[in-house]
Amino acid sequence: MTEDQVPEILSRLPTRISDVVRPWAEHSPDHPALLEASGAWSYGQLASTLAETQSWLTDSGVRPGDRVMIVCENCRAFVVIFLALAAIDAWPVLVNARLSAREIDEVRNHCGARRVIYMTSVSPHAMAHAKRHGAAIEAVLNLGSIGVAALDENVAPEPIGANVAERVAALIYTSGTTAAPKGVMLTHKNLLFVAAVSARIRSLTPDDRLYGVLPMSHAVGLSVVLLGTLLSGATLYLASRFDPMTAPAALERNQLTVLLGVPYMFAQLLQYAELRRLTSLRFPALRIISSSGAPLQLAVKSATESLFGLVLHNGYGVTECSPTIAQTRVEKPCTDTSVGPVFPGVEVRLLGHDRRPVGRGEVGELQVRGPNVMKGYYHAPEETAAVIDADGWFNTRDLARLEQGNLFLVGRAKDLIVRFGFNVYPAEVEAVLNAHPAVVQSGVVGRSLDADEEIVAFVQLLPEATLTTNELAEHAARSLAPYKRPARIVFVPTLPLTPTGKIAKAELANLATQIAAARDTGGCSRR
Amino acid sequence: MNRAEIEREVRNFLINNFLFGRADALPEDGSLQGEVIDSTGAIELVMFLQNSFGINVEDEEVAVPENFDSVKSIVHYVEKKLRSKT
Repeated sequence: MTEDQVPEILSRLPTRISDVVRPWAEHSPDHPALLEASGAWSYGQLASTLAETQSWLTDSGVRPGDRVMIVCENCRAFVVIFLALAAIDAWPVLVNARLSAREIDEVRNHCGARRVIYMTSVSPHAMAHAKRHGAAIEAVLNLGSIGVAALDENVAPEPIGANVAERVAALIYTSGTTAAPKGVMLTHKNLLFVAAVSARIRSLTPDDRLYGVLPMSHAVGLSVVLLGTLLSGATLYLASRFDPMTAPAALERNQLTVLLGVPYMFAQLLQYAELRRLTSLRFPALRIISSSGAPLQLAVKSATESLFGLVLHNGYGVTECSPTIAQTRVEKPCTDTSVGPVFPGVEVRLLGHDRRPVGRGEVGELQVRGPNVMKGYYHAPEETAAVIDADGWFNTRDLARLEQGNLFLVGRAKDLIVRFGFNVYPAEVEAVLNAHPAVVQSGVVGRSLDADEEIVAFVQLLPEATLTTNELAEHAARSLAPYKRPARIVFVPTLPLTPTGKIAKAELANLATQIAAARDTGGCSRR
Repeated sequence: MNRAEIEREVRNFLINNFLFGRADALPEDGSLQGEVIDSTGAIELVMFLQNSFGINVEDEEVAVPENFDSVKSIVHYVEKKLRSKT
């Protein structure tokens, strides 16, 4: 699609996210909307359940402007409760059930939840949180068994603005890989804009069947996958978690046409293929595979493309941008790890240290402006003002460069390691390590060392690999300048991940500090 | 191979590969999957079972939670597979 189609898309957006169901319920009520292992709903059934759920929520004391937290993993009950809350002007607060008790409670307290609802039928983690909070586990409508916590009578509803499209449709707390969690307020228009443009880029039709395996408590799963599917009248196969051992069967059995994942998922599918000694994994119905959420390594991209016989597309975004900022195009695939051209309807600029635009091809801090940019952080006006300027530019704090119209992510400004006074981008070191055939993935962090930083690499190897740290260090030395080489390589069984599948850098940084302390006292061990 | 030997091997694998050698962190109830073994771990576990016990673990068997939820269920699964080989 082209930039000049954006005004037409914007003019035809529904007002509310819950409005995406009605046209298809009227046009093709028997067409499947949501599938999961426990059953399916057509668009007609989804519409009627949506209406009943709105009444149930209102009758149970939820008012416009109330924050209602959903402790969720993907399932039909989550979809309908989320849409019903938005329909009655309550604010859905989406949290991944896999978060710790501390993280869940922090969000609940910060948002001032009027009620908390738990997707207990698909998530043992949600069940554990429900029990911990003393929630009632009950069968509601045809949603199955869900957890419902007591009403908090002490919270006040937020005022409701006159412009419906600009009202908050989802409150998503950032994963906290770089800072303390912040509540990102996304409006109906934010989410629908990204859903509509994503769907147009991929030419989604009612014949499409998407794999709904990215968590919908996060922005990609919510706008691109869930709302993009429903806006197109397509079908969504919901999975509460990704399992590489069962994903191939799900793709085959459900004749799925679109698989949107994170690099980690594709790396796992490569491992699955190795386990089963498969050189190709072909699904006749599958037409698009795409990655986002974390840097895509060229080795993973190439191997995945060879395995699937399809181009692995790449995209980039942040929660505050609902989330998409750039996306490779189906009609113009990239052979490198670029995240593609800027998303239609979105402006970007790259600024240098002097806050002026950088020269052509140079690395700068990426700023974004457009209908995808959030309303702000909840109850945090100073933090909002720190990232969105008076002209509406949102500062991603990511470092990027533009090359022939394609955006390349260089790293997180905050992740930057300064070694011997030189800038080291962890993504570059990770790319070199990951290129070794025995490496599954790696996470590189800096560890403070007097006035310098030491580079520490955590590396996950293939299960049967016999590689030593010295051999990997030699491999890195062949491709990296001395100041970029890891001072220490640590093999780990798996890398800690955030719920969205990103490598948890903060956790690795803590681990690097602990390892250094143990080393200093002679007690360090490694696998 | 008897049950005690199978259990010892399974325990050692889980403790050394997923728990950094902390035997006390191995849950005895049915919460192994998700808590100790993530999705990548599932592939490692299957590889270990196939190589160590000479059995073939099918994809659909991994999808059955009861097979790999606890040390006890894994041992039971291996015993069943070994019996079906004879």
